[in-house]
Amino acid sequence: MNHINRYTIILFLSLLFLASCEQESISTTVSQTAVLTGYLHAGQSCDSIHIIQSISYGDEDSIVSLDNLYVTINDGSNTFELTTEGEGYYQNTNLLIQSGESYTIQFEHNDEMVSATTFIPWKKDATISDTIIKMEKIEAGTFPPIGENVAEAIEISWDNSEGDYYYVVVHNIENDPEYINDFFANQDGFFRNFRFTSEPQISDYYNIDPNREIRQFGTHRVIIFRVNPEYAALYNVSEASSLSITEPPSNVINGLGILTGIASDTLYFEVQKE
Amino acid sequence: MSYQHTTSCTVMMLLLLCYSIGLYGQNLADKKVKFSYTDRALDLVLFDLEINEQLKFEYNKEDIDDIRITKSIPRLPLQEALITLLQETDLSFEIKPPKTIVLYKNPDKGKATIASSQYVPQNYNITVSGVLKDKASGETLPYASVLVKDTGNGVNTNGDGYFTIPNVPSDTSLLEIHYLGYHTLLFRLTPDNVRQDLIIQMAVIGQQLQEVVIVAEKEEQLLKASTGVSKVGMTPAAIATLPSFGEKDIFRSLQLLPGISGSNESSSGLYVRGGTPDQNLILFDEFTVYHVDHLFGFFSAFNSNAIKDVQLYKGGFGAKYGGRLSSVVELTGKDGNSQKFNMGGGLSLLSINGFIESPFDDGKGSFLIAGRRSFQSQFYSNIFDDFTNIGSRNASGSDDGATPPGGRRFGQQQVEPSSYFYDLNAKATYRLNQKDILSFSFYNGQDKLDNSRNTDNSAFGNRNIAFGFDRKNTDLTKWGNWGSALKWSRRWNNQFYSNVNLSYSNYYSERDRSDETAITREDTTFTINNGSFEYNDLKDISLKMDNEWQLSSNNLLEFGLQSSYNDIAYQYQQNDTIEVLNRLDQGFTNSIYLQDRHTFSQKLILTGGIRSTHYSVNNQLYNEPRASLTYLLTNKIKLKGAWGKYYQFATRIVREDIQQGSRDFWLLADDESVPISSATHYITGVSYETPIYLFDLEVYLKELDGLSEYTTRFTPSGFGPNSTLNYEEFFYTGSGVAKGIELLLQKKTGRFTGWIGYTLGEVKYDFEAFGDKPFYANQDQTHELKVIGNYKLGKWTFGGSFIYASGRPYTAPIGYYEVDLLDGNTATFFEVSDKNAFRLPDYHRLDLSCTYDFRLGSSKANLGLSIYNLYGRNNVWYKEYEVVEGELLETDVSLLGFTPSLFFNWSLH
Repeated sequence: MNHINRYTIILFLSLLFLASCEQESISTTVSQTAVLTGYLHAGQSCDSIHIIQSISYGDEDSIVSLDNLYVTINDGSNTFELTTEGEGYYQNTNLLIQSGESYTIQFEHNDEMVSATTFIPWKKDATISDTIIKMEKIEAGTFPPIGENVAEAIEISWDNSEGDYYYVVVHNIENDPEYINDFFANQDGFFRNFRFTSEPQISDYYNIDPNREIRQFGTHRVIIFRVNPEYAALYNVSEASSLSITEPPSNVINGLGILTGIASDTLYFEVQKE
Repeated sequence: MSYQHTTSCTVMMLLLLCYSIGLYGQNLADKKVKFSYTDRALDLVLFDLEINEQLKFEYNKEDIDDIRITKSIPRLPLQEALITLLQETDLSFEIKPPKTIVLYKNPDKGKATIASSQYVPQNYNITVSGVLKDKASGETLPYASVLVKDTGNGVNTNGDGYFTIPNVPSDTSLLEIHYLGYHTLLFRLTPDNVRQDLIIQMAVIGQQLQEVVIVAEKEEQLLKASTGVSKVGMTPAAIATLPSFGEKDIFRSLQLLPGISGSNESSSGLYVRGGTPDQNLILFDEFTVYHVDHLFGFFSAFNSNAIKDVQLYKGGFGAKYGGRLSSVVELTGKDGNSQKFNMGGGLSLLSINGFIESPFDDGKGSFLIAGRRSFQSQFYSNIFDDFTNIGSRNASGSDDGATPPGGRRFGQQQVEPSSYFYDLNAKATYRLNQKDILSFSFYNGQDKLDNSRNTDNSAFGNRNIAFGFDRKNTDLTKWGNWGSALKWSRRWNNQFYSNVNLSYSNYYSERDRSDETAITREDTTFTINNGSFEYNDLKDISLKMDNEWQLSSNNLLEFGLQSSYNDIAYQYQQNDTIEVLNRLDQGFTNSIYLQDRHTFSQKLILTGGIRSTHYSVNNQLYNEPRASLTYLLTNKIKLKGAWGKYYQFATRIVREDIQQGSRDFWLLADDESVPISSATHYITGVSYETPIYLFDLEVYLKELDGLSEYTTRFTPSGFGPNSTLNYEEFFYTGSGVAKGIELLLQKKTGRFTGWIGYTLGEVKYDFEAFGDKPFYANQDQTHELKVIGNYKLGKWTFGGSFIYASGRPYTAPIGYYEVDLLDGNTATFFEVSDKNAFRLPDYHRLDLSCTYDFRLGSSKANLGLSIYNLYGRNNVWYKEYEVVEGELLETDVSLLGFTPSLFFNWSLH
């Protein structure tokens, strides 16, 4: 009986260890992926297609441009070649980007065909509630105005019956703008020319609160970009943690980055001293 | 002293000796001693024997006061010598290896004649039934093992503490009863006491022993791992002395077992054998609990003051349980003291808790109410900040927060958050008669974190009254459970037991992170909401009926039916009216099960069963066959194995969010986008058990199918003028295999108890969406070693636990790239590695605790110190990445370092 028991145990233990684990290493690839950044502005030439290589973790080198690639753009019926301009930039100034058309850029990298396609939206005209804003100069050591003396809001609006994404950039275009509040002027150029940008939103207006958001006198340019969803998607990545990191948004096949069509309208307003 | 009396005493002592020596005393039985004393105090005699004969005596000082000895013997075997020594006293003894002799008062002194007649058997091969209770509180003790001594015959008490043992050799047999945290009991049957149901009372270790029973050994072990296949029992009474994080925590204690990951500081959920927490069925008084975390998972939602028993099935569980792939944790709430009023409370650096319990209607009924609430101490804030203050980490590169695209940063709000958690348990039990018990159990717990603030209004001043706005910032996170169960148990007779349970469980989770802007324009006001609002509400209404039918002495049939209705709502809104996700899942799962447990020649126990579930969502029937066996090769060696098929219909989706704690929500599988997941368990093992040690080895293999990984992202869809950016949910589906070996070496008794547990494991998933190669699952952990020790020294108890675990896999950037945005800013994006291609550094930590038990008048109290992470190891929780000046930097984010905490507990009895 004892012998039987012993053999049973040995057999049993052997069975147990049959199921032991094996470790396999998972190889990781070094990053050498092509990154395409291309904005196709309606009504402009194809002049700023940028192709570089992604930067590997721990890589001391800076950006690796991918020059001398054979890059083409197709508008659905014709294919045009883009010429290399150095530092990864490509262009074809003869090609005028048309609203309502689709364009595909493609090139070969690391034996793979990298391509991306986008659609060019139509421009929408925007209106502005005021083109001249009067604001009080705030001398150093004084307080900003309150109550009756504050400036009214500027409202920029456009038709968005299609429910598309819009994106607003406000920029002071003076060469040496004067600060409304001297406090900011003394910040050693930290604020420089005022620039304010929104995020792409499905919206038909954009409000600017001069008292909070405008810091300088002078002419401001407002560009209202109508953008595609693939551009808006760039703004919806916020996690940079190993718990939740995911592939970044990209419409480039076999590569990274973005090719997107945009249309824009430009308005101006001036901030004057009261 | 009459001759008869002396004889009966001797008979009793011999009886005692027979079993003591037969079981444990083989070595000491051979030892011979001699002595000669004249009118010497017994304590001095014992002292002399300890010195000269290298023996050790344990006794209560009061028991031996005033006893003087005049005896002289030549060198005799120890037992004979002790009989002679104690012949004219009322003391009995028990020999415990290796050299300890326990002395205690003989209960039957003066009743010798009656006692001797009671030990003459009158009936043979009888069935004995009864109920097991705590001596002090009258609480019934569930899942205790009741064995007929010196036979292989034994049963476990059921959930209400009842047991029935058939085939007991005679009405004078000895029952041996084990329950964790209680003195093991040897209960002598007599022709008188077996005529009715036995009421057997057990004493908690630390209480004064009484004489109704003969004490064999102390069941001082912290866990009971030898009762079945992959089954472990624990009681709050037993885990009280383990190092804890300020609070005695049952789930944290379970994490110290082999096969359950102990390195998840951010979750009190259980990762059992490569499973995930949502694959565990958590039953509290029979209602399902869907969320077990307090304070971002640092504590479990269960107040151990309200719990009397925990049973954990790590796999291969029987047909009674279903709906989950990985494990079952069955928690039984305390019924309340059925003998006298009791109250108590405790204070730690984190929370305050209290309970009251009392009998009513002359002890027919009892109730217990227990509650706990956190308070905002420095200690609480430390934990809270660790989970929420992402921007102030110790960084290997930079201490800045991560930089998402567009130059935005994770902003920490400069407001003092208001945050708390609480839970409340109440249970009332009423014994209608000898056969029927009615009980009602209630639970409510909630976590709330409010980080909201209101921004000053009148943004455009008063001049332009036609246009202005108010901004209200809300940042509210709230989650909690409601649960209640009404249970009716009936013992129809000794062979048949039923209970019916109607339960309701609700889990809700809400997060509102939004800015509400009210804009006034020309006498009209409209509001715009920016941000996100997330809401999950799960309701579970279940009716269960479970029956146990002892068909014959070797055959126990269990059968029942369970019907659950789930109603799960989930909403995720962004920016005002964009309803990103809106799910409403409803469905019935109706199950019946049948399980038969057959014992062959008291050596082989075979259990086979089947569970059939109809799932209304897809109108399909799912059959789950299950089988297990244990075979007693010798008295000490047991072989075991189990196999079973398991299906899961409700799935918890986790969306990792490091800023406010991970968000999770439940949904029902639809068999289309979310598949019904399934698992097949294969388990085999062997255990070797002596009265002092247990060595247990189990090997498991789990084949998993229908697994889902969830992710959401904004995805452009369509093309051209009609294209949109949709917030879409993706359920990546795949299969997986988890396998591993678990080893447990446990020292069960003595001053020093504890265990060493080791797990070698692997979990690999195979998802098409993540490539054609299998990848290690997030919870994969190759090695895990746990060393747990507990040392009692008088009123002091010292505890220690050490955990070593190899690092878990994670996904990381392998590179980055930049995209120039339209406004001239640059956004940085990461190029991401293969799924889980990297490993975090190894995890290890040492915790220590020290508890001092004392009395305040007639009440009990203890005071303790617990030290978490003694040597301040920075165990990496996750990594954050950012690009600073062209360099990709990573930041290790760790949870708590060295953290001492104090606790104090008091109770009237």
